[in-house]
Amino acid sequence: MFGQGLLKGLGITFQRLRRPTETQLYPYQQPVLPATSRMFLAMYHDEAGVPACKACMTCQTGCPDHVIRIEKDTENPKVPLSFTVNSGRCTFCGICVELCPFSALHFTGDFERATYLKSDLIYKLVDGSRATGEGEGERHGR
Amino acid sequence: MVTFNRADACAGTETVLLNIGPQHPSTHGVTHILVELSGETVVAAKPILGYLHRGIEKLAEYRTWQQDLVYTDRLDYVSQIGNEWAYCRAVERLTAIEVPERAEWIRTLFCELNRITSHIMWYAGVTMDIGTMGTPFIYAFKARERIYDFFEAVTGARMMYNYFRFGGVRCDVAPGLLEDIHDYLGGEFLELMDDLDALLLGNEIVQSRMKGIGAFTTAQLVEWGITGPFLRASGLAQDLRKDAPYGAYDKVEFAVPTSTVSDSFARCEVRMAEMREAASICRQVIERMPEGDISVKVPRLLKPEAGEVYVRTESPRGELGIYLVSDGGPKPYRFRVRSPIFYNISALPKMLPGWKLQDALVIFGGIDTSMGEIDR
Repeated sequence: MFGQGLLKGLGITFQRLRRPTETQLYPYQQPVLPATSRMFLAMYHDEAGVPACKACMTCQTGCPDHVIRIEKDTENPKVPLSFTVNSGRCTFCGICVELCPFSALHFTGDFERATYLKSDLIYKLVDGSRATGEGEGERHGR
Repeated sequence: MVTFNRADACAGTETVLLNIGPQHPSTHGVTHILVELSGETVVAAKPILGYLHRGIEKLAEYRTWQQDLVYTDRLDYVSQIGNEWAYCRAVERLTAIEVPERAEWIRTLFCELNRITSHIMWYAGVTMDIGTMGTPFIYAFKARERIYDFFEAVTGARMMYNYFRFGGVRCDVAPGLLEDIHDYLGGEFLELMDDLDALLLGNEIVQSRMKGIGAFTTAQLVEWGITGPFLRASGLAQDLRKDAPYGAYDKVEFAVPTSTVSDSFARCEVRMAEMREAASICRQVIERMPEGDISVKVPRLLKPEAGEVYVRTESPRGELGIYLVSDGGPKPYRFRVRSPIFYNISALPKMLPGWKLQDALVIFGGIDTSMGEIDR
């Protein structure tokens, strides 16, 4: 009989209507992300605040999108003067974290970093500040 | 200027050129099809490509073999693992890297999970095409979200996994998670599949929209270079997982769903059956996965010997081939993708003429396009 399948479909809809809702109330409720989540990059520092990075340049050469830029100290080549990550270009592939021989880099669970300016997406990981106004940042409608 | 051959059916009246897309709700991305209509009937059709061209093949020539792996995810962004696997297999064949047994099983598991999510995306697309206004779409996406949670727990990302490595996979899967996947695919998922079946295949309106629409013979489809579920729905059980097994496919039992009707409805049936088969493969893989290493040590800067290799895999959309040429350097000399959907969509000028415009959308929905792989 024509229409039986339609009625069955309606029945399914009504059955599902009674089930508990699965909507995530983001941003009112923060999602629980697994520990493996690949979000924004961060660097480990010791208690004295010295970064774990030894400026070996492995991550800079390994990055497929040229996201990382390291400047070495000329007198002490094992100390990074600056470690900049252009998150606007980053594809969050995790190659840098995987390659780092000193396990200095890691991913945080932080993903809420939308900005008005592209230049605000450039982060300095060594002194932990946001490198506002640096690089080839481009103005977006404000 | 586009010129079309006018069909005799026009009977002296003027035809209308209609642009479907590139931003049209039923075009699955940025597909652009220029159709010539005589009344409601399609007289000629021409797919216009290139809106999502990112130059991945060229980019790959300027990056090392390992770095290219990141870009393979972005080829077909609905079945990412399938692309990664095809590329990894190609490089492994080029460099004669042996993959450990357990890694092959893990790869098979995630490839099949990805096949399910990819087919769910097709399900969502095709139901929207015929105007079901979202109910089956949202129900199907529930399963997709759940499977993406599994992916996220293992790989750390929901879409762009970057999980496979030359000679294995990046990290092992926790035993508890394997149990979760097994339980989900054996219970809740099958329950949902019954509902999805009833909502799509059991619906009389869908049947009347799809049955007999886009009926092509096997000979026609083979001539046009069609692969994947579209071809299998015509009765030809061509599946590289059976014909040229890779991974753990020769060690698990599964059927290749086919149909002899070869219309749009048969394509739906084949894809729905494939999702069930994929779930069955996943469960078998989890039950029989051996212990052992998950990867072998590969030099950080890979330099394969000069040569070329072509590897075929069965992606959810058909035969995905990766052709690599090495000149002995750290970067590929040539990186070429044989995209299944590019060949399928290229047959649209042969497929669509003679059908009504709304039927043409149903036929197009049966191809299951993903523009990321066509335009690359």
